[in-house]
Amino acid sequence: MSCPYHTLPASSFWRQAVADRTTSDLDPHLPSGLQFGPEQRIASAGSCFAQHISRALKERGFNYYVTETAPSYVTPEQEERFGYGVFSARYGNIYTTLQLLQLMQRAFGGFQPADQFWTDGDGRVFDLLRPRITPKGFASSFEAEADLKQHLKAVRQLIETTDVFIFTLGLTECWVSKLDGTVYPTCPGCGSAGEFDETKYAFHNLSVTETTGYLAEAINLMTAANPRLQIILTVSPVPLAATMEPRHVLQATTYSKSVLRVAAEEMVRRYANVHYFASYEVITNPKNAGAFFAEDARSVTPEGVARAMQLFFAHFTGASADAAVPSARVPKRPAAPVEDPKIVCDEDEFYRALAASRPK
Amino acid sequence: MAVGSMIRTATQRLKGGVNQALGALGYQLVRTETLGGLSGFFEPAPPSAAGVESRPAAVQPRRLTLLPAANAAPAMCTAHAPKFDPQKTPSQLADKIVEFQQNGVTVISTNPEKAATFRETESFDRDVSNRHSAWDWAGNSVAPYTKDLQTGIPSAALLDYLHGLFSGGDFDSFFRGVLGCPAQVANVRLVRSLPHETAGVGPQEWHSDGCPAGVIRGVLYLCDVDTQTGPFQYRDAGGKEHTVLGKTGDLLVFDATRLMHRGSPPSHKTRSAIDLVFMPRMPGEDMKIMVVGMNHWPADPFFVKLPKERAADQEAVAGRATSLY
Amino acid sequence: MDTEFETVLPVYIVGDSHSLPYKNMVFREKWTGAFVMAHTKYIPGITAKDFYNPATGEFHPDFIAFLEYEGLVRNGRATHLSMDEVDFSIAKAVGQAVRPPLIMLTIGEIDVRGPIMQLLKDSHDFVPPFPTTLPVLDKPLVPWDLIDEAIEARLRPFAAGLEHLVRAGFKRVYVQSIVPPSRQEARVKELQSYECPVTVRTKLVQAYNWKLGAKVRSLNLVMVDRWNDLTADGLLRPEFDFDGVHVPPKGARLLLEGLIDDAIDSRGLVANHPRYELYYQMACGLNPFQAAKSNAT
Repeated sequence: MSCPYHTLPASSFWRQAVADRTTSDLDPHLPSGLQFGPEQRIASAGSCFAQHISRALKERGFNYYVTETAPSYVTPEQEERFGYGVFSARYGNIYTTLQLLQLMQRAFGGFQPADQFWTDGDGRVFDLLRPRITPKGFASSFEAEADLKQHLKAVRQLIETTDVFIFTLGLTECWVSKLDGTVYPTCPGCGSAGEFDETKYAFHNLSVTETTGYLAEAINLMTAANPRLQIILTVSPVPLAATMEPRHVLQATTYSKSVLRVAAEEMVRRYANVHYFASYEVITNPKNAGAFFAEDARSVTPEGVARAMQLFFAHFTGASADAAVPSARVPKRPAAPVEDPKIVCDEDEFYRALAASRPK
Repeated sequence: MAVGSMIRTATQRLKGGVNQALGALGYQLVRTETLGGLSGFFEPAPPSAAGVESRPAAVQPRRLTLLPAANAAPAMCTAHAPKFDPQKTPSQLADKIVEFQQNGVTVISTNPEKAATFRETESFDRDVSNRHSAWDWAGNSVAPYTKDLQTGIPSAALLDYLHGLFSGGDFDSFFRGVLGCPAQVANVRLVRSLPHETAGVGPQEWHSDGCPAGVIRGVLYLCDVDTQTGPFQYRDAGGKEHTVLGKTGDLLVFDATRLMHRGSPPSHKTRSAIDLVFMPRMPGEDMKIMVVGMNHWPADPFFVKLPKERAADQEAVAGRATSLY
Repeated sequence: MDTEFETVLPVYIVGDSHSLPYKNMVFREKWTGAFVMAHTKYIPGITAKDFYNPATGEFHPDFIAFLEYEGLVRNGRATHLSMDEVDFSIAKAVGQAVRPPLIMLTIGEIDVRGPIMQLLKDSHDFVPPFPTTLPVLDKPLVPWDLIDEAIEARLRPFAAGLEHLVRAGFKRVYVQSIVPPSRQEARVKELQSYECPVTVRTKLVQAYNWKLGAKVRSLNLVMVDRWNDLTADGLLRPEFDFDGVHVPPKGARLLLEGLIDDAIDSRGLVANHPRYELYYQMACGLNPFQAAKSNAT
């Protein structure tokens, strides 16, 4: 019998699949078992990086499915400011698998957070689970609660009627309510809505078991609501901006991304309707040597985003992946971070506000 | 067009004539630029100006903007008061003058026993009747516009007290400080505000008064005023709201044009107060206390002289002080 | 001739087609028995947004034309005691009005029915920041802040125009609140080519009036509002629905009576300001007649 490795394709061998490849033709994917076209409804959720996917889908004429639509006669600037079309519904960024699970539990009736709304000094009411969805908060508790009801209805409709749901896993570190375990997208009172109170909120870093378990539960809920649903998981390649763990942020990033990558892998193994897209590998592989990161070694460059999207469409829609990303051949690191200003990122806002509030 | 032109000419001649007649009597009642304009009317106009005047109106494009009114209220009512220097002009109320000049409002304590007495003895027996039987405000009152406010005719005793109070050296120097001239009282109004839950109307709504130059306002509390008694509120230049609580006898003096203000609607307790209007007094004239009623304003500051024979007038109003009401 | 003519109180009503129900309206008001007569001007299509241009300080040409036609403005200046006279007596002797005229603007309904209502149509509802008896429908909600921005965009130039009018001496300007919208859904669809439930339309008008009232009050002016008289159960009473858009003359009469109720309480801040200034200066020991000369030296 010959060695089983002899039967493997080139993609299984580092030299052929990576070392001999150029940055622009390195493709860490095998052919996907899922294909969709313009007629399928594609929904998405996840961390900041997930917004690149939703925008790319819209730009390429795919049916980016939005169930919580903006009213007519608002400007694109207003749409964006009020969180319309950033994702398929106005849930804002979903960073952790527990956050996704709780969204599904809230939408399908199983969970009602005890501490969700916060009123500022001007009487404006904020939804702590999507703190930036209305820039100045809601005008009243009544409006906040009525809007939430419609939002959850839109989430239900989304899950029940979409064909594909793309979820980008972002973080394992999170802040939870000590009352009932509600998980918040950001730490309440740190640069966004809310008021930090250590008797009410606790830091938690999800373990691999928790991350995997919560994700599996969320998938079960979604699939129960829509048995035809196909799910694509990706892991955000963006490193942590900061960690609450008492260790180096680089270690914390490695932990977080490893756990998320394992959770995604576990779901692909477990469920036939779950697929993986390797955005993490496209951006972070050693062949690139950080070429797709900007000078801050965290922000993904437009070229990196373009390459990831190119491969995404190549594998899931059959679009050509041959065309190299033209700008990938230009200098590896741009002089300054080129960050798309249209990405709505609670996490970045949080750290910007944190930096601004630090005593000089 | 010809008829209109004739009317305009006649109007101008009448105006000019009236002013010339007043001038001949030694009055200076017309501003210099007006006088210049009117004098020019009786002289031949320069040819170029005549040319402009005679141009047909239809040729000129319509002006779509409006010029500011020449008789607009001043932005603040104490423009001619020099900046007060307490070192140069010592005064018992120096800090109050400085406070008024800075903020447009100050509170001065007066005799609380007297104020408490007037609260009991004054008759708040009339409605605030802004609806009158004639549109020029000369008619009898027809109906009140709110049941939550009551007024009355101030008694002779109250007017005498106010006369004595404001003639005193402290207040004389206070008014000279805030106005730049001595003051007199242009109106005294009793106001009783009853507690109510509905939104305030009239003086209980946010407003500014558009008082003429030199005219400032006062409110003398006849009772302690806390948050439930409908305290005076004003907004400063930055729009921040301030509430002025007070004790019986506190006199609040404020620039009602400079400050948006209101007597907030009392929620639980009745507020009794005397509403005062202060206006400049010519040097050499005596302090006067005028009472012109709830809804009236002295129409012309030159015409508010009281008859000299005060005693006879007092008789005429059955023991009350002189009133224009 | 010694015939004494009864005086008539004119009220100048100008704006969009909601000025039309006041046309030729004459009645005796209840307080003094005086005749009130509406002088109306319909400016087709005028909206709150194009009533006044804050950038140029110019009003809608038809509005200025109306003021000039009625003799309220001459050469860009208000004619009531705005001129050179410093004496009420002289003004009265020449028959000049000393008090600002009563003017009511009927502007804004087109703004509500047009661009603002487009946000909602029949697809959305909203929750206003004030109490209302009207329900929230089971529809996606437009955030109040977006409605607020849409109303604000239309109201801002209008409020700037009101402020300019006040500066020009028109201190008795009233603004008619937008009247409650029709219950006739079919008629409304026919008029505006899209549907919007009556509760949503009514709530939107309430919201517009809520903001309009606040702006008008901040200028010491008054919004004429008879909402409670015109509605039953929160919606327009059918007897006040003239044609699916306007109130009938009897509704307009109610509103005009509301204006009169307020106007009789208000002197329009009448004071002879130049003359007070003169007096104040003299009291301060200044010589107002030599001011120009002393400045020149």
